[in-house]
Amino acid sequence: MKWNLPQAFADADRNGQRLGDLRAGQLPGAAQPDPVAAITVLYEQHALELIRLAHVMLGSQTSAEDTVQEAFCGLYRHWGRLRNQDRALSYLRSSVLNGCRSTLRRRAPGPAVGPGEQTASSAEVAVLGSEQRRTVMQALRQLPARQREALVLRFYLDESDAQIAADMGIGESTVRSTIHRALAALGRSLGEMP
Amino acid sequence: MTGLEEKLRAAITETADEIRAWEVPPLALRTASRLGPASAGRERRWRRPLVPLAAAVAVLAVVVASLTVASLRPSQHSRRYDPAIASGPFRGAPRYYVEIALTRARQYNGPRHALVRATSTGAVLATISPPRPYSSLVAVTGDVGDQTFVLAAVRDGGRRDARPYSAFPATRLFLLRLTPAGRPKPLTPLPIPEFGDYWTLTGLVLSPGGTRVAVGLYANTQKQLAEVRIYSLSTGSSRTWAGAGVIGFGPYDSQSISWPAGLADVTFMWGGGNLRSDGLRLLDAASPGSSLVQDSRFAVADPQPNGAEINSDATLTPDGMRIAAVMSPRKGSNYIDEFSVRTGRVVWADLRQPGHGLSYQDVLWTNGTGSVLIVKTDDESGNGLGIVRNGTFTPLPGPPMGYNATAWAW
Repeated sequence: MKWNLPQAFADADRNGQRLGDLRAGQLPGAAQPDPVAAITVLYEQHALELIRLAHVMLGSQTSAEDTVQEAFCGLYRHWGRLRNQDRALSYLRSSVLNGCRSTLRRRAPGPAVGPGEQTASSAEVAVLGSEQRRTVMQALRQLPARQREALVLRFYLDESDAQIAADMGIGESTVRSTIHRALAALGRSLGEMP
Repeated sequence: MTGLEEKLRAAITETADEIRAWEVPPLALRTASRLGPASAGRERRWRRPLVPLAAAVAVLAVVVASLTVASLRPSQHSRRYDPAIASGPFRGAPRYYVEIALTRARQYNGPRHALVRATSTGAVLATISPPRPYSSLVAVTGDVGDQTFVLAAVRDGGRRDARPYSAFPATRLFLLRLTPAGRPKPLTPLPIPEFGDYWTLTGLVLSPGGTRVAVGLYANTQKQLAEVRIYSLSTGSSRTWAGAGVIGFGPYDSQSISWPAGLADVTFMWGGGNLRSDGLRLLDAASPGSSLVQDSRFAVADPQPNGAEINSDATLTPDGMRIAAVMSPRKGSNYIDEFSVRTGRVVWADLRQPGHGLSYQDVLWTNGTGSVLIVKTDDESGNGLGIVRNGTFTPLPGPPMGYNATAWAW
């Protein structure tokens, strides 16, 4: 079977399937016996949202694409050891978040993007009237990685405290305090009440 | 939801949408193909010789656990009930605790119920569900013994953390009493009105002796109104203190308030956007007044001068002398600090780690002087509980809980 991935993504985007299954953490349909076929289906259905998630975290489309690609390659390598293949999507999401953390740790202080890359802070976006968004995203990216991650999981994926705890590998009470402190820091940075 | 939260959500969503569907590159599994998917057979080969060893370890564990349980079992001839475990590694701790856990594992937005557990074994003695129309239990508090608890129940099963505070479901408080054997009596609704409309429960603590309950509430108004209300369990009469800020770290944060025996003071974790007054504060529930900030006094700064933050909440020791908290430093692992209530300074610190890759997260209970603590830990596989005595950490027994259990009270 040949997958027309770009077309499938375009269809999904047009149909408004933005976060659907990614938020629910479920793998649609039965697990495929052939790892390549199963992973291809997963990629078709979830790569877009995973790249968007990584893009929000990293501020760089190239880094986001690389991170997601590595996550799918990791899934392929570990497919046989995945006890419950219905949990593949959770595995992927955790891998992407881990990949983002590693990238952020490696990244030297300075611009988050590669040369010539278009980002939220580009002139084009500013012309489009997104100054406020640029400011908010800049403040978000100045937060410690853990706080940033918790905010993205809460306000992008709409995850509950318990789900964020499971995704980040921290306790639920820590999730609460992390989000609280992150909002307070963001508020201070933007001169607003949290 | 505050204006900042709305702005943040919009900014994140718009940024994510910069990536268009047609920009997604094709999947390339070539790099991974060189290694190939892991073989299940290969995994089984190394496991096979370990089977007899695992069986032997399991048998040994059962024997050790049986001996431990036998040594901790209360005397059948004891006439006077003593809530504390008399001997063994968990001596001094209450016999039972109540845990809030997901009704179905990993269904993070699903309903939660309460489990009554034995501290020394982790065994589940009873499972408690809320009466209709309430469908989920979300918070719990206990008194200094181990037989009286208050549980908070909500009308729908979902925890909608990401939604505005005003969208949280109505919450009702119920009284739970246990027999000396740890068996629950039926839940009794307290004569306290539901917290509905725009009020969200952000703190819950039972008074020493179990006659009153203090709740932290948050209202999503423009001034970020927060209240501490103290209710009589028998009559429902109440007193209220109010202020512009937030108590605790979010909805159903049971641990944000503590109320030790023999004291009028209620401690609460306060965030009002002013670093000089934010942190742990002490409210004298016996004195007049109605202002959360003016009628309370500052106890412990958060963050501390060295930059370390209280990781989640803090607990006042029953003798009223110390506040125990897990601290999260700017760099390095979490550790435990005990602060003097009088000076706000650190009087005891335990920088040792629990080991086994665990990290301290919360102090959930302390004995009278703070020399024995029950703490929450976690690692990559989920939450855990343990006792810290003289700096030595001993895990509480029980099956792995993952992230399914979310609140505990002794």
